[in-house]
Amino acid sequence: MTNFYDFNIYPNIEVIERLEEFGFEGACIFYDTDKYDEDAMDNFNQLNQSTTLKLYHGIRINETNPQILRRNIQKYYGKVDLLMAEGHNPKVNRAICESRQVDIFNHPHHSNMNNCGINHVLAKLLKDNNITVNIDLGEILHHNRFFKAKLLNQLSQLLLLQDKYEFKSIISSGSKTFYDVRSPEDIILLGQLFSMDEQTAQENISTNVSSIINDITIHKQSIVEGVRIIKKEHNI
Amino acid sequence: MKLKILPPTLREKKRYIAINLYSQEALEKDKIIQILWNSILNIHGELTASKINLWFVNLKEVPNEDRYQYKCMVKFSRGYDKQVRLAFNTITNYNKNRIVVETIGISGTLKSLDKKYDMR
Repeated sequence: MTNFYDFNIYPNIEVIERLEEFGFEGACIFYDTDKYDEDAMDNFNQLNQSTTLKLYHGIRINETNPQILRRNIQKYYGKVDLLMAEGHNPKVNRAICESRQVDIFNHPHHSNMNNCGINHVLAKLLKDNNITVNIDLGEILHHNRFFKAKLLNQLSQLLLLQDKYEFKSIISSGSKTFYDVRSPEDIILLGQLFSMDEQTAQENISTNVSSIINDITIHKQSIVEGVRIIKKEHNI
Repeated sequence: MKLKILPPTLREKKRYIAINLYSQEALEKDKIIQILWNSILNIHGELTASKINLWFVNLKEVPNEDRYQYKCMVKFSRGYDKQVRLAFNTITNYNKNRIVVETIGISGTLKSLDKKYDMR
């Protein structure tokens, strides 16, 4: 049986209950850097106890200055399960792609409307640094007409690059409320909007997310880049 | 004089879809029809919408404490299942009123749809 995950949701009990109803295996709640404090952690622990879903928590870094972005990445790396960075101008996008600590790259096409925010150089960096690009369905569905068409075109460009450079991508609902949550079947169907075939769409909400989860444990065990603590059980 | 009904072999082949529509505010039947038609026109355009040939069959309000919930049955041309489901999935709001459509099932006859999902 395939396990499905929604890896970008907001802390809302209704959303989590709905995901549970749809048969998702796990989800990741992302907090903004300015809202991440002890209260947020208490809230996360309460949500975690109230559900059977495997819940993960992460930080959404949204900076327009590459230096502050790098500082924030260093600050939160290791403290949370996942780091997600929001794309902006080409300099910020480059800084995100160069950083190995970032797990998920959200909205690469944020402010530049003419392209998908990733070129062949950044695509190679994404592959080398094992960074996953997040396709936010909520963003697509909440736009209309011209903006939706533009966004879908940018995503098609992104998928063209993905075909060649084979960096990973995931699809998430970006659910804030009950009304944003979609079932796994619906997410796979919505992949057709940006010409993604069903098999790839399914991988985007199952296999690719599982590999991010595997990376979480690797990140937690690593001391510096390339060095990991592997605990060995002694048989006496 | 009323036209004589076409023989079954010459009739348009059709399918029925059962949906759950959740809304923040109460909706009338006409509004729901408009929302469903608009979703198809926006995503697939007029040409495909004409081929899909959507027809609203039945509406049933389901008691729900948190929000308004409606069970609807909609008829459409056979072979357009994915297009119809995709279009309904893209519905997010109607005049600042948050809406979501969830597909319950698709069937070839009204009777079986009613039997399976208690639509009336």
